[in-house]
Amino acid sequence: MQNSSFIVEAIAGVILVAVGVRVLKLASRTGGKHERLLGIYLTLAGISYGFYTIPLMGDVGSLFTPLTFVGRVVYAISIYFMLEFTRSVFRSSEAWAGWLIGALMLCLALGVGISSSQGNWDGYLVTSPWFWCEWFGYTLAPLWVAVEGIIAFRNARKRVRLDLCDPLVANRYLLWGLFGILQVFTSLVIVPMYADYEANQYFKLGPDVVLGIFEILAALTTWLAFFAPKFYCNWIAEGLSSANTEKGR
Amino acid sequence: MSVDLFDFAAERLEQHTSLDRLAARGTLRLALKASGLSPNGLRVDQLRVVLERVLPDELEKCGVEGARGVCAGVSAALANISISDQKPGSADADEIFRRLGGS
Repeated sequence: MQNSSFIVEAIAGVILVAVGVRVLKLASRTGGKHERLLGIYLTLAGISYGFYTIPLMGDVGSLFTPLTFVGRVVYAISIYFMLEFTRSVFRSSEAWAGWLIGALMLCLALGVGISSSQGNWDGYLVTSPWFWCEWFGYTLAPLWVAVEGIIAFRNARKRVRLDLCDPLVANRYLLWGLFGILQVFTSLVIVPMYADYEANQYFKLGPDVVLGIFEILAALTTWLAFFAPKFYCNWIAEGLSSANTEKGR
Repeated sequence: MSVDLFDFAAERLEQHTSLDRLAARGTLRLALKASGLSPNGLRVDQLRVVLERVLPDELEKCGVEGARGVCAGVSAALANISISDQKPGSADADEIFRRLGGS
């Protein structure tokens, strides 16, 4: 992130905040719990990207570690809203979903809390077991999002053929699942990146660029899912209706 | 009369075909799965579509004669029932994701 891809991360953060604020506006109009949870998640995640990237954009001196720490804490908090949104949409009547949220938030709380108390404020020490505790928390959360999104998409596609589901809704499930997959990839990429940082106090260009690409793609999927432009909506609707016509022949 | 929709449809199938309880429930489950639906949170409008467009073929695969007529009979019977408290289903998630698009 000390190269140039922190700019990409900052752009991804801005997109997430923009989509999050739009979803929060929707929540204020509809009063919906789900809109509120998703809006808070996207906004907080976007803000945390800002806290991570501001120290890399210029010389912030002694503020580097505090700003990174705030970004880390805000991101961990945002995960709760991601998990609660997923539970409330897909598994609202399943007890295990509540336990899963509890376990993942415990991983995050212990990981952030204990590693910070040991002096690892920015969370870049992969040799610490508490890094891995935190890592499992913020990696398994989007993995669950991905699994639920893709399952919902597969089923929704079948319902689309029977006119029981809007093609745009089915596509929104797919994009949400893709968002989860891309977030998991970012978690995988940061492992070698942080390991290198721990050894050299420098982020290498290669993994840094890959991370930036995954983050911007993830942010763009939320934009397409919840802020889709007209041409994209038309394209999805036409594509699916012609696919159904082909199947019906 | 307040009933679970899946139980109601499966019992009707059992009564009007040669299928036993297990086979009737299993066939209905397969039809729902092929339609991207689950017994939990199933709605009447969804079940009607399954009865009309998916279940007849599943029943014919099981050797049931007059499958379309049986399904039409079950569908007609749906008009006279009230549904018991339902778990959230696909329709609820669809509605949430529809709203999230701003529509």
